[in-house]
Amino acid sequence: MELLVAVAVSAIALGAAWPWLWNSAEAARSIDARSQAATSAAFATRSIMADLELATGLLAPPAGTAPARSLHVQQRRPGEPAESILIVWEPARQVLWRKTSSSYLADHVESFSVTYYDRLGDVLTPAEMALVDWPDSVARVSVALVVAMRAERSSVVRDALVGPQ
Amino acid sequence: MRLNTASGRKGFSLIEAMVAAAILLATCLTASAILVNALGAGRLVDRRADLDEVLGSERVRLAVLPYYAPTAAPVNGASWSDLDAPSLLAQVFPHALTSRNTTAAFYRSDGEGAVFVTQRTLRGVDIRCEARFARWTGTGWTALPATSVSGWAVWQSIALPAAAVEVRLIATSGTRTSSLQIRLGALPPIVEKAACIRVVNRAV
Repeated sequence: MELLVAVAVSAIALGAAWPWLWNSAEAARSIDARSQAATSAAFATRSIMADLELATGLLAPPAGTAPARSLHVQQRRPGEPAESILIVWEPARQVLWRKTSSSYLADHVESFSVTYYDRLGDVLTPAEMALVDWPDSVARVSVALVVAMRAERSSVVRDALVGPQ
Repeated sequence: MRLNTASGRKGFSLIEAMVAAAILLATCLTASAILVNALGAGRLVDRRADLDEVLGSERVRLAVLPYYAPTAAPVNGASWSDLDAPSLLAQVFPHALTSRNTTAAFYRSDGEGAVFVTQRTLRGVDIRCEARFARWTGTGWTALPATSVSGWAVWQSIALPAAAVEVRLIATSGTRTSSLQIRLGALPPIVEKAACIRVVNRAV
């Protein structure tokens, strides 16, 4: 009799522990995914902000690349030729790349957008962005990106000044 | 309470099984508490990051604006935000006239001098902006007293009370609060750097 009770108690305890263990594993997985997404988004944003901090100005993205999902900055260092750095989001591959399409800043990038503001704080209109020298009128940019890992998402919005201040 | 089986070997007794179950339960509870704390800490960090993001955006937005731009007076009933020439002063310290005060943008003087308070919401976060004109005294920055500012308005006089403003931004979301203090000037260079104060150099 005692053996049966002991077996029953053990079975109940283990049976109750199983769903708990399952849920805990799921929770741990989601924490892990969220951490990965947040780390990836933070790294990409930091890199972009670092590029903007060193930028002497903005450039228009190459033809075929929408300014709303790319960022093209120019940097000059003493004694070195000017360098242009292009950051582009490719929705099909969900990657955000820098300089070349094989050097990722982040993958699993669900969305990426750049908003350009003039010196008075107004968003540049499509008509203004049709002008050849529209990058010269940009005083600040706002970068928003969302990185998704499994079901977890991390979104970052960061504003930065453009050019020497 | 050892159980003697037919084979004569000793097995687990009821008490031992219950003790084992209790240990298992205690382990589960402890691990659950750790997980709950980790989730809570993650949410806390997210909320904190949201506040800092909004404060950063607001700092950059203000830093880009020209310090002062001539502007027409808002017509009667219009808000300070309707001023047609956006400038830093029009945004953070448009006037020192209590008669023009609204609930979202008002001038007052306190023990630390004249202050203009504006409140707005950005990405779901409430931002309170407290701006004071600041003057360099040779040894440090001092907020202008109310007597030096009272009656001034951005649309009335090009004679500015001071060439720098100290802005304190306070972001609030739920019970969380984060703040940032910046000093913005009309003329570069402003080279003063102090702990927790970010100095932004700009030209008009």
